[in-house]
Amino acid sequence: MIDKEKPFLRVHNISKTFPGVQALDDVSLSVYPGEIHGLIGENGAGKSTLVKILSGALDPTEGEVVLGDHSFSSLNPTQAQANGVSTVYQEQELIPGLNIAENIYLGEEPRKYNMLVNHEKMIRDANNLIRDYGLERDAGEVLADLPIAERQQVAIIKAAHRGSRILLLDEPTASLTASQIDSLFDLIRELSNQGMGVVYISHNLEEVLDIAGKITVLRDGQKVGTFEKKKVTKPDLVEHMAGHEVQTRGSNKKHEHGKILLEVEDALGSVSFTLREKEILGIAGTMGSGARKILRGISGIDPLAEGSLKFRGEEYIPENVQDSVSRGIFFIPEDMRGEGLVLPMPLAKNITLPKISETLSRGFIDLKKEKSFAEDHVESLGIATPDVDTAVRYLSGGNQRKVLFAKALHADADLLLLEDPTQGVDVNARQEIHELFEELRKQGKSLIVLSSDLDELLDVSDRIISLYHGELSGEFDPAEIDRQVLISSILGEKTEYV
Amino acid sequence: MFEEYAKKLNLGEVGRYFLFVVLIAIVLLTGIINPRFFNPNNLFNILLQVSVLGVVAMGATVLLISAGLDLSVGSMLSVSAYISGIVIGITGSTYLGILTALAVATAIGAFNGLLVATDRAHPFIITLGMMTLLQGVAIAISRGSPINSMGNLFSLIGIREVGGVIPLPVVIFLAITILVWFFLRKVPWGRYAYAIGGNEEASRLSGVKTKRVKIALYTLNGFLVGVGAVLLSSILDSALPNMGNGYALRAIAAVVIGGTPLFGGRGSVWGTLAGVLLLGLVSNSINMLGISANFQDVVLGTIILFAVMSQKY
Repeated sequence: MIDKEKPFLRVHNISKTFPGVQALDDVSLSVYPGEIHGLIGENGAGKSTLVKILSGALDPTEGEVVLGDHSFSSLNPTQAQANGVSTVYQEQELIPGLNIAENIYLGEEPRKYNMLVNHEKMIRDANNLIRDYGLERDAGEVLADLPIAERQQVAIIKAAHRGSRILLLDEPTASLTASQIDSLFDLIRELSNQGMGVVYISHNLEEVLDIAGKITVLRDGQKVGTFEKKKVTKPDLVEHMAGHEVQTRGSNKKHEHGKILLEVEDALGSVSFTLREKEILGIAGTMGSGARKILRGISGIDPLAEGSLKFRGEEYIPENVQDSVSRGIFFIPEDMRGEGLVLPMPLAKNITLPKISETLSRGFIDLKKEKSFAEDHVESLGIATPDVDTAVRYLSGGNQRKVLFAKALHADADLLLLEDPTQGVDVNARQEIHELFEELRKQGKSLIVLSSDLDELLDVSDRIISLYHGELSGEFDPAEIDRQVLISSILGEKTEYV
Repeated sequence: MFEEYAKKLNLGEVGRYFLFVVLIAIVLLTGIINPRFFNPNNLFNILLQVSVLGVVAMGATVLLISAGLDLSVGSMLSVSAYISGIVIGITGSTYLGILTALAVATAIGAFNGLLVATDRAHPFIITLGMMTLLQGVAIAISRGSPINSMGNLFSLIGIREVGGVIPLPVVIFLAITILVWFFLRKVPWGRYAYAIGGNEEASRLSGVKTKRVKIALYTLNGFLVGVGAVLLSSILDSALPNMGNGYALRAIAAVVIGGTPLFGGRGSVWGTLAGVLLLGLVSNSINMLGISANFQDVVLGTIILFAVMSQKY
C-alpha cells in the first residue's frame, strides 16, 4: 500500500525571509515513508522556521512543499494536517482534563444511536490502540495524571491514529529522563516500521545519531548537507554545524575590569563564578542547563535553591525583586511581552516602574519630571517612538527591547542580568543592542549575558562560562576559541577543552 | 454573528461617542417631553440619587484597572451601615457611627485583599463567597429588622445642602471622584494599579510588590464602600440589612460603560463618572416620561449592552 520508494514529503528550494533576516535560504529535503530524518543545527540555523513552514504555521517566501501527490506553495495548519503532517510540540495539543481515550478520539468519538458517545467502545478501542504502541496505561486515566513523557506518547499515538504520514518532533526529549527517552524511541521506531516518516529535530547529537537514519544539517538558514548515519561521526556533525571558518572576533581588546562585584558559590549545588566591575560575562547552555535558574535566583524572582551569593562583598539572599533592584541588580527577561513590559501602559510609565521613587516631588508622582527622565533615556538609547506617552505595545520588537534597557538605566542598576537579549529583533537592532553593552560597560556597569546564540556570546563577552545539566562544563576566553568548542561544551563534553 | 452586524453598522467607530450621544439624546428627549426635567432641583436630585453608586463605582474603577474585582461591596455596605446604626443607637454619637462604618468596611476590604493576594482563586469567586457571607451576617445581626433612625446623621449629611443648593452627598461624591483621580494619576500605588492590571508578572519582575499593592487597593475599595454606607444611611435615615443589594453589579456596569475593560490595565475616573451619570439619567428619565417603573430594568439593561458591545478595545 505504501510506496516506500517514493518520498512522501519533499521540500523544494524553500526560502523564508523575515525583515532583516534570511531565516531559510534555498533548502530542499525529502523524507521517505518509514524514514527517520534528523534535523540539526544551532539556534537560529532555521530548524524551527522549517518546522513551522511544514506544519502550516508560516508561509515560505519561495519554494514549495510536496505532500504525497499534492504540491503547495504555502500551507495552513488545516491543510497540513489533512495531508498527513502532524506536529508534536510536547503535549500542547492535548486537553489535560480529558482522559486518554477522549483525547485520542476528540471530535470523532464512536457513537451510540447516532447521538450519544459510546464510552465503552471508545475506551476499549483506545486501550487496544495504546497497548499496541507499548503504552502501559488504562485509556480511562485522566491525561493530567500522566507524566509529561507519557502525555507526549499519547499525542504521538493520536497523530498515528489520525492517519498521519509525517510526524514532526521538535526537541521531543527536552524534559525527559533517560528511560523515558528509551520508550519514546521505541514508539518512534514502531511508527517508522509501519511506514510513518519522522522529522526529528534536536540539538542533542547523540540522540540524533541513535535514532535517525539520515541527518540534515542547517547552518545560518542554509542546508550544509544530508548525511547517512553510517557515514558520519559526531565530530563531523559538530564541524558541519559550526562551519569551518574560525571567525576573528572584535573582542581581542582587553578591558580593564574593576573590583569583584558578584560572587556566586555552589549555586545548584556546584556552580561557582565571580564577576568583576565593568565585565561582561557570557553564559552558554542549552535548555535545562540551569543557567536561567541561577539568573532568576540572583535577581530575586525565584528563590535560589542552593548556594550563596555575595554582592559587593556582602552576603545577600534576595527575598523579592525589590530587594535586588534596590541593591542595583536588574533582570531583563527574554519574554519581554510576557514578563518585561506592561504593554498597554505608556513608554514613560514603563521606564519609571522599577524606581518610581525617582519621579516623586513631595511624595507624589511629578509627571513632568517623569516625562523628562523618559525622554532622556529615549534619546540616549535611540528608541524610535512618536513620544513617551505612546503605549509600548505600538513599538517594534527592537524598540521594545530597548525599553527594557531604559528601565534598567532608570533603576540605576550596576549589574544587568540579560536573558537572550536580542531574541526576536532584526540584525540592525541586534547590532545596536550589542553596542549598547559597550556603552553600559563604559558607564561602569557589569553584565551577565545568557544567550542561546553562541555568536552573540562570542561577540560580546569578555569571558564565557558554559553550563550543562546544572554543572559548570567550561570557562573560556572568547578570543581563543571558536564556535565548535563552545558547542561541544554546552553539549556536555567536559574534559576535552577545559 | 454580532461582530458582522457590528461591522456593518460600524459600531466600533460610533462606540467612542456612543455614551455621549445617548446621554444627550436622553436629556433632550426627556426635556422636550417634560420641561420639569431641566429644573435645577431635578438635576441635583439626579446627582443625589447616583452619589452612593458613584462613590462605590470609584472603588470598583480602581479594582478593575488592576484586573481585580469585588462583588461583595453591596453586602459590605449593608453590614457596615447596620453596625454603624447599632453604634449610634447605643452611644448616641454620630461621629462614632461614621467612624464605625468606615472602619468596618475598610477592614472587610483589607480582608478581601488578603484573600485575593494569596492567588488561591480568582477574585470573582473569592468575593462571591464574601458577598454571600456578608449578606448572611447582615441578616443575622439585624434579625431582619431595620434601624429606623440614624440619629443626627440625617441632618448632618443626608439633607444638608452646601450653599443652600448642592446636596452634601453630591459634594462628597464629587470630592471622592477627584481624590481617586489624583490617586490613580499621582500616587505610586495608583500607578501600580495600572501596571498590575496591564501585566502582573512584568510588574513583579520590575520590583513592584504586587501582593502588597493588591491588598492596599482592596482596602481602599473597602474604605470607599464605607463612605457609601454613611451616605446611603444618612440619606435614608435608616439602616436595612439589604440596603446594599445590587450595588456591586451596577457599580461594575458603570465602570465598564465608562470604558474600563474587565481585564484591566486601562481606564479612567471620568469614564466611570459618565457611566454613573448615564445610569442615573436613564432612571430619572423613565420616571419623568411616565414610563412604568416595571420597564426600567429593561431599558437600563439594553443601554448597558449597547454601550459595552460597541466599545472598541
